[in-house]
Amino acid sequence: MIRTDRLTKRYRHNEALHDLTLEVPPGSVFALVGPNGAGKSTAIKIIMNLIRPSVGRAEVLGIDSTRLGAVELAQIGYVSENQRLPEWMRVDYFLEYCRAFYPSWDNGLAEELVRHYHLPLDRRLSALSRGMKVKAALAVSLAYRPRLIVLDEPFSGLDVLVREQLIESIVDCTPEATVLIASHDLTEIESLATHVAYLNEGRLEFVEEMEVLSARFREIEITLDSPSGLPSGLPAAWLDPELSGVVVRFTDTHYEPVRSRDEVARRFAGVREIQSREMSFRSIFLALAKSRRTQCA
Amino acid sequence: MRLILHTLQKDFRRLWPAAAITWVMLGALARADRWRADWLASSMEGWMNLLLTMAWVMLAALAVLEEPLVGDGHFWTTRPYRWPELLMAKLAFVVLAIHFPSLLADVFVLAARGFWPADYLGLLFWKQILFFAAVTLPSIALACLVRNFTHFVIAVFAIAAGIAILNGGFQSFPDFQRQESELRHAAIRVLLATAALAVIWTQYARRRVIPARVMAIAAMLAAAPLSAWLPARAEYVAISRESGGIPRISLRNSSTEDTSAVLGRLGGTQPVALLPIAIVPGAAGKLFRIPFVEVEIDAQNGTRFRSKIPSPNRPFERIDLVADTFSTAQARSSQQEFYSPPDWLALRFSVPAWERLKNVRVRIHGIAAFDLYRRGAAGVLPGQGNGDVPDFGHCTVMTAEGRYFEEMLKVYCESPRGLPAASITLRHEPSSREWRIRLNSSVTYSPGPHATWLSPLHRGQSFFHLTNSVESMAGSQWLVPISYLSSARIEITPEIVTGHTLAGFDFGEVTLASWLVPR
Repeated sequence: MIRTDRLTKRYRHNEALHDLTLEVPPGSVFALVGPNGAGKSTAIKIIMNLIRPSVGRAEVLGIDSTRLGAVELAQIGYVSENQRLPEWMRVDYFLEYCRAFYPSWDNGLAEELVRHYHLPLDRRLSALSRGMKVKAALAVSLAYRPRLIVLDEPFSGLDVLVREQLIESIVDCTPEATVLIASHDLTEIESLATHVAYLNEGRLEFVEEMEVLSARFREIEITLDSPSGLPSGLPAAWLDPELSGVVVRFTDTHYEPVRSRDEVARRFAGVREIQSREMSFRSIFLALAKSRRTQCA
Repeated sequence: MRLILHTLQKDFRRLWPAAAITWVMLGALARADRWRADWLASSMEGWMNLLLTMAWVMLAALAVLEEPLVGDGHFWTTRPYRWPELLMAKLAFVVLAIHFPSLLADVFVLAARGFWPADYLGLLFWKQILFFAAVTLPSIALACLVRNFTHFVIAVFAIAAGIAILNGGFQSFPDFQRQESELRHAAIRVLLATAALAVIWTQYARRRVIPARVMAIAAMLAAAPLSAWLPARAEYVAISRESGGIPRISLRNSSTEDTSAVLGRLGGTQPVALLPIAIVPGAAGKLFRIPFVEVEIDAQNGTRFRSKIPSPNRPFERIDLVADTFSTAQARSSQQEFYSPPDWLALRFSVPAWERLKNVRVRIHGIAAFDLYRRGAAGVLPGQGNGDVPDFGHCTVMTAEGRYFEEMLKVYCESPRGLPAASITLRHEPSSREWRIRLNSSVTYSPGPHATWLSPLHRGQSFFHLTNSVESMAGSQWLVPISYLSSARIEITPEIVTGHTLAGFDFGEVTLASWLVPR
């Protein structure tokens, strides 16, 4: 559905994106995550042909992103936090205006979305709250049942309830669609994404399925018989090891039940107990970010 | 087509208040134009020409900026617009909101002034095409290059300031006899329109902002010097025809003639050398005008000066030498003799230039441009009334009051086609007296902008000064007795240009000091 090959974007004095190579499989909900300034929006803008790459290429719906035309755009729904809507339009005219561009526009779905989002048809977009504007933008981006939905930080600044409502509607209204979503809000990703790519300072740190990611990350807590120091030469896959009295904590990024236990037993003498806890995506992300900061320091 | 109409409908829905404002302004301007019977527009009409043009520029930009082409956050850029349809929708808006109302206003003005519009439809369409190429198209192109309307307004004012500087701003006494260089205007129009088309295509088809901006800046940088420094002779090189033979210009021997009459017309305090010249016209025609002369003076000491033609397009130019031709007969005669050829070459120097040249032998050579013409059939009008003059236009003779409440007879002519130069003769047969003036021989004071490029009519006028006395006294021979008007006839003779040519001359070595005119 989307493929990028060594995608790089340089501005005058900095490189916003470096050698991004990834593939968004059809039917997936692909999350592009990372801290602010990681290059998520840059990648999405290149994919949507809003800016051009300095090096590399992106392919969307089988064609080069720089050649995206009306035929392809009619199959893509795009919502971004930075999108400037035609705010002078009333909501009903906004829907009516957009409808003409999409042969696959579904009036029934549009009406359903309006109802679901409680959109006030008789009000101008300029008079709507930010949440309502996002709903209006989503309504006109879902009503034609796009094959690909691209969302660039669409829910930032919205309250949890609205966010949940919007996420539900995306999944419910277009179950067949492939979704690419860029976000630094990890809780919204967790309930939605099937795949995740983690970007940091313009570079891709990893890309994998959410299930695999959840399976390989564990918060490990070791209780020792007596206090001792942290041994040197711990595996690089153990992030941020900490010692507090007789308790050692770290994040194992390559967790496998048997292998991980053996490794712990080999590294620490007098292990009384090993606990491994599943991590939320938010915790995984924080551990990664924290580890990155420690390395940089 | 469906999406063109859809976008067009949206643009009108959004922009109709702005469009309506321009229509009201256009209505007011058309009304003023319809009632004007004077070459010079009132300052209100002058301002309206300026402001309406600006309003149209803004309106065209607003239409384009409904779907801005610069920036990556615009809603429309990720919607399935096809660029040709989007561009067509914008052009359709411009045509319907700007050019069609303008065309209707022109038709109204022509009809109201007694011209049958159907006879001039070609001219009216051509006027819209020129306006499109010179104003609307560049406005669309500029709007394609800016992020928002605020940026557009700032850019427009910066460009307008540049144009004002290059055109000398508003002149209180408009020099309407100054030759406007058609070639320069055409070259600038072609350059800007071509660049505008390239910018529009680059932005709509490819959305490549930086190359488009580079193209636009390059076109403006090229247009500015073209406007200011395209040599006057370039136009004559382009349009001159030599089939009729080239006039010859030489120095006359006489140096003892009375130059006071010519001096009276020269004015100023600069050092002036008056060289007696003789011009032998070529076979193409005996009647000619010399719109400009370019003189080069090479001194034996290596000093060289080239004459310059003062122009409001070059407000900061330093001028050391100005060359012009004069006819003694024209200067001396109260009944101006229009057709006598120039017999003096006047060289006006700056003081430093004169100091370097006055005592050395110099070689004077250069070129003169010739407009060859023939006299057309004269149109005859009564002392007061109106009528059509063949190959010219519709003319009206009426009494008018001058600036100092003096009575004058005004001869006013207008035509949808350009008015050629013309001589106007007031003939009173019972007394065998006649008075002659040229069309547009009077300068009128104008406190504001006076250009009326939006008018479909070309206008010209001249005045005869009137007196209550029938006696002709010394110094009053140019006054026309009011009592003559009832039995006078006005003859208007157009001077129809038949060709143009350039003629070189070389006077050899002279000492300028011997031609210096004492002040």
